[in-house]
Amino acid sequence: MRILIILAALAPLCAARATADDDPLRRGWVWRPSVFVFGSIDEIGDGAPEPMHELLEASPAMSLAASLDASREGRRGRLQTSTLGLIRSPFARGARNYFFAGRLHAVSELGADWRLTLDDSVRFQRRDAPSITDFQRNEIVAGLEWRPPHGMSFGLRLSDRRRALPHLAELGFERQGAVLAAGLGLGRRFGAELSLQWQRYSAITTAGRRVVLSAELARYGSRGAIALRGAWFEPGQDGNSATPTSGPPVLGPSLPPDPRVTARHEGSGTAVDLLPGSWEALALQGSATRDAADLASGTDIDLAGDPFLFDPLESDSDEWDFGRRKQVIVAFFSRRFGDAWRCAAIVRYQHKNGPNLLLTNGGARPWFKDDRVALRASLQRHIHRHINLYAQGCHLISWADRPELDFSRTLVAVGVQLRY
Amino acid sequence: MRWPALLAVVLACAHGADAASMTLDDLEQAVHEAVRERNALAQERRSRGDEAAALADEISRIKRRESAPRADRELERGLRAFDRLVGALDDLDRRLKAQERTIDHAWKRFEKQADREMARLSEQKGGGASLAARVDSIETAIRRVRQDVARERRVRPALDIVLDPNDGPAEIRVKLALLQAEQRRFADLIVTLDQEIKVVETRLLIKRQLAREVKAASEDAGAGLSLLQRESDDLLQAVKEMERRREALLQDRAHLPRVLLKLDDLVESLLERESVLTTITPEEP
Repeated sequence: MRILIILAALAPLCAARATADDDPLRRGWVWRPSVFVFGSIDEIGDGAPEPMHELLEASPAMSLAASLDASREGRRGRLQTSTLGLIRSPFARGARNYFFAGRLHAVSELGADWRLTLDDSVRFQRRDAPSITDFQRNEIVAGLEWRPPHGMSFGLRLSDRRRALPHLAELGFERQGAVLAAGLGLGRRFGAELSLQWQRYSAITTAGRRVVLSAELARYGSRGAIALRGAWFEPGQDGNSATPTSGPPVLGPSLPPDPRVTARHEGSGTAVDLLPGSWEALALQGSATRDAADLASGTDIDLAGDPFLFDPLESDSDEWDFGRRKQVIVAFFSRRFGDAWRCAAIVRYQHKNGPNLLLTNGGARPWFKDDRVALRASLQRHIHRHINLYAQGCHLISWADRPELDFSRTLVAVGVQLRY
Repeated sequence: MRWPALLAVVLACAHGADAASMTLDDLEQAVHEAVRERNALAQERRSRGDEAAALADEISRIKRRESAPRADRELERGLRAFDRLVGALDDLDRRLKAQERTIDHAWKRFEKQADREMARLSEQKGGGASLAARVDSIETAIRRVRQDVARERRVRPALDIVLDPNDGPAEIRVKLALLQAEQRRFADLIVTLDQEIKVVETRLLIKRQLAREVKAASEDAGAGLSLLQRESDDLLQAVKEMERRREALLQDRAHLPRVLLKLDDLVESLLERESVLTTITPEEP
C-alpha cells in the first residue's frame, strides 16, 4: 500500500518534467507516471480443479494501480526502468491482493561493434490473508553482444533467476543459465536468432541441469511487428534418472501452511490431493493477479508494460517444470491503426512430458503429459494526451492425462490509464 | 566452451599464414581493390541520396502545410515512399561501413608487411643500388597506398588565396579564376549539404517512428521474445547515430555562408584591384 501511495504522490510531482511526446530518444531523464483504474471478470471453466475454485478471487473486481517509468539516454547507452504497484479489490478487507513489479534495462555501447546489456526483473505478490499464492522472484541477465557490420551478431547472456513462495517452499527454486545466441539479418527489417541455453537449477525436491534450444523470427515495420519463437527444453540427468517405485507419493519436506490447503491435505491422509496438477493449478492463482497487472500496465509504449508482467516462455505460473521435456511455440502480433488505436495479441502453445519432480518418495516420480494454449489480446485507444482506454482478454486452456490439469480460464478487463 | 576457443585459434593461425604468404605487391593490390569497391559504393550511395533528396523535398513541403486537411495522409504516403528508399540507403551505409573496415584491415596488413621488408632490407649488408631501389619502391608504394586510402573530407577548406601588393593583372586574373571556382564549389556544397540534411532528417523521422513501434512491440511481447528487444536496441542506436550525422552536417553547413561571404569579398577586392591596375597602366607609346 505504501508503495502505491508513494507512486501516486510522485505522479503529479513528476508531471512537470514528464513529456507528452513519445520521443524514445529524448536526452536526459524522462519520467512518465501513470495511474490506472480497471474492472475485470475472471471465469474458470467447469473442469478446473477444486483448489483453484477455493482460492479464486472476487469477480467482477476492481483494481487500482500506479506506475512510474524513468529513462535516460546517454551518449553511449541508455537506461530504462519501470515500476508498478497494484491493489486488486482495494475495498474488500481480507481479500486485497498486492502486487509490485519492477524492471530495469540498461544498454552500454562498447565501441561500434560491442554491446553490454543488463536486465533485471522483480515481482512481489501478497494477499491480506496468508496465501499459497504469495511469491517473490527476481531475475537478472547480463549480456555481451558482438555485432560486426556484415549483419550477423553473436551474444552471450548469463542469467540468474530466483523464486520464493513463503507458504509453499517446494515451488521455490534457483536457476542459473548461460545462453549462446547467433542473430541473422534475413533482409530488411527481418531478423532471426538461434540460441542454445544451458541451465542449472536447484529446488527443495530436485537439482539438475537442462538444455534449451530455441529459434526466433521477427519482422517489423512502422505500423507493427510479428514474431515467432519455438523452444525445446531438454532435461538433463535428473529428469530422466527417475525410476518409478511402489508406494504412495508424498510431498516434499515442507507442508503448505495455508489452512484450506492443509485441511485438504490432512483430510485425504496423504498428499495425493496436492499432486503437481493441483499445485500447478494453485500456482495459476498467481497468474490471475499478474494478468490483472498486465491490464493495468496497458500496452502504452511509455510503460515497460507487459514484458515484466507477462513472460510468454517462462511464465511464473507454471515454470516449475524441471525434469520435464517441454516444447513451446509463441506467436506475437502487434498493429497500430492510425494514431489512436493499437492492438497486440500473443498466442502460446506448450507441451510438457516427464516425471513429477515435486514428489519425493524414494524416486516415485510418475510421468504425465499436459498441453496448454494461452491467448492474450489487448486493444488500446488513445483518446487524449493524458488518457488511454484499454481492453484486454486472456484465455487459457489446459488439458492433460491428469484430470487436475483439464481446465480453462478466461479473464477480461477494461480500464482507463491517466498518464502525465 | 573448448570448441569456440579452438576455432578462434585455427582462424588466427590461418589468417596469419595467409598474410605471411602474400607479397607486398599483393597486399597493395588488395588495398587498392578495397578502395575501388568503397568508391563504387560511395557513388551508388550518392545517386540514391539524390533520389532521396527529391522525395525529402516533397515531404518537407507537405510538412510545412501541416494544418491543411489531408496533409497527414499525404505525409504518410510520402513517408512510405521514402521508407522504401531508406532500406536501400541503410544497406549502402552498412556496406560502406563494412568496406571501410576492410580497407583499414588491408592497409594495416600492408603497412605491417612493408615495415617487415624495410627491417629485413636494413639488416642486409651490401646490395648497393639494387637495395636502394627496393627501399625506394617500398616507400613509393607506401605513399601510393596512403594517398589512395585517404578519405576525402566532406568540406575541404577554401584555398588560401591572398592579394599580394606586387600582383600584376595576370596574377590577379589567375587568382580570380581560382576564387570563382571556389565560390562555385562552396555554393554547390551548400546545396548538397542542404539536400543531405533534408534526407537525414526524413530518415530520422522514419527511424524514430520505427523505433517507437518496435519498442512498444518488444514491451508487449515480453522477455520471452528477446529478438524484438534486440531489434529495438539496434534501432535506438541507429537513431542516435543518425542524429550524430545530422549534427555533423549542420555543423559543417553552419560556417559555409561565412566562407562564401569571405570569398565574395576577396573576389570583389581582386576585381577592384584589377580595374585599378588596368586603368593606371600607361598606354604604349
